[in-house]
Amino acid sequence: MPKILVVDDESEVLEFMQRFLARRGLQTIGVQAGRRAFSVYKQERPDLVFLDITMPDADGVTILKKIKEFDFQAQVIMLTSKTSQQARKEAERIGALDYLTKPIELSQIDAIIRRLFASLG
Amino acid sequence: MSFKYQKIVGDTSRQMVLIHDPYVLIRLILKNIVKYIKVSHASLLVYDYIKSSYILAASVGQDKYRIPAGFAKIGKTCPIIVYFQNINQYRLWKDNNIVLSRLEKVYKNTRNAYLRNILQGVKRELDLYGAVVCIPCFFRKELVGIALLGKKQSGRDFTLRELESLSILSTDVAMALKNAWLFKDLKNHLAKNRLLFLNMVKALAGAIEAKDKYTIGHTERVTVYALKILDEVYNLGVINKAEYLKMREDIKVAGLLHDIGKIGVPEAILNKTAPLTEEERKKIQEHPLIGYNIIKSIKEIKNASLAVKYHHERYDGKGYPRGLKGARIPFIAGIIAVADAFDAMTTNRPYRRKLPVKKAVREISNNKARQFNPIMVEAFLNAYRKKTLKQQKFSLK
Repeated sequence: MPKILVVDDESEVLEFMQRFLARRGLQTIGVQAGRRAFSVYKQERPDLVFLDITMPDADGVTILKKIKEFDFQAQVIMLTSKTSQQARKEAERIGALDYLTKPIELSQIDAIIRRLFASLG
Repeated sequence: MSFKYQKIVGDTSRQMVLIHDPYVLIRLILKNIVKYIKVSHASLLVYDYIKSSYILAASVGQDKYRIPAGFAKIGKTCPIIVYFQNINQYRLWKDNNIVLSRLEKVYKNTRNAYLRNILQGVKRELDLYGAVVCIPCFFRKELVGIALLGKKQSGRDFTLRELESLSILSTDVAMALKNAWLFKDLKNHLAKNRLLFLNMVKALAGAIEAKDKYTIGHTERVTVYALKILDEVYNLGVINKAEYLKMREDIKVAGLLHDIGKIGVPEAILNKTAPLTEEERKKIQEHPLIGYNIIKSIKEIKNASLAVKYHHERYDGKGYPRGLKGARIPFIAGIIAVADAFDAMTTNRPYRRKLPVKKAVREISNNKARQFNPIMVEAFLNAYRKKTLKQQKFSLK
């Protein structure tokens, strides 16, 4: 069963993503405190990460960088409430798989999951 | 088993008329649906003109299906929207609603490949939301929202009567949303106009100060002091919240305009360093009335205009222009009077240097029930003790 890591400071969002992904047959781990994100990633080695960019205690782009430095093949999807062109370019440059701006179409998340299943065979 | 169809429509319609806030309204409607039709969850997505998509505004019901407000959206290219936009073309059922259980039948029996695709897409989207029914909210021809309902707790299908009630509700929802938008637009419009108005008032007050060079900043300081005094009047429980909020707005205008009458007083008199003659003093004492006459025709600031007229009245009746006594002096004028006196004492004037703050405070206190209304004095002293009187930058918002 594929494993997904979701990092978001809003507990409502975190809970929703976990429930949503679980309904699609995925094992999900949720992290609300950004500063724990990287250590949890190292421990769990998920197949996909949903990473919030703006969190009070940590910067999503920095976490992305750390993850990518640790494992350059890591698949990370950035989530954000704001459309900062600069942050987006930076994330893409570092190697984020995709960049979703809230509000998100659930079908977009679904498409990402399907691609993940397909790639894992 | 009798189902109170009228009750849900009636209740909701009545509640809708009373509530202006769209989000309170939406949650209420959804809660009613969950309560009366006993579905596991209900969500409403509302059209956003700026984002050109339907954003999830509220989601109620069982925890496991709830979606955070503002997190999810449905775009205009989503099959659900496409279906609703072309609903007259398809005419699949008597009502406008999408019901999962009857989708299958149509899907299997239609030869229209395009329609099949759309219905397939609709099913997929419903699955993502854990929904089995989708109700469009049309305001005339405009799709302003869509409601998604989960399975009924009984597991049974939706009855025709339930679907009909939901259709009726949907037009009410659409109307409520449209109204709420118009209301919000109107509020924004008024807010922008008000800011413009206050800016004009500030500019005008500035023009007066340019003439009276020893009191630059006076009107702003008086406004700040007056607002702080008002805060304490409210804290004392003398006025309720609604009165407080209204008076805040009036004081902002009154504070800025209280000396507008000085426009009619010769500069030579305003800036004279030596003592005034009897005639000169009379001239200065005309300024409250002159000011009042200038602004009395603007009905939006009626209350503020009273402050302009009566801010030199004294509680003991020995003030001007009319010698009003005690409680007959308008409340707002009493507040401005204290604020004005305090600033006058604590700033340099052409004819004397400023007093130390402590002394000025003592003066005000000593004049309780003489020059000033005791309530205002008490409020002022409270503000002084809490140290909130220290001047801050005055913002018009």
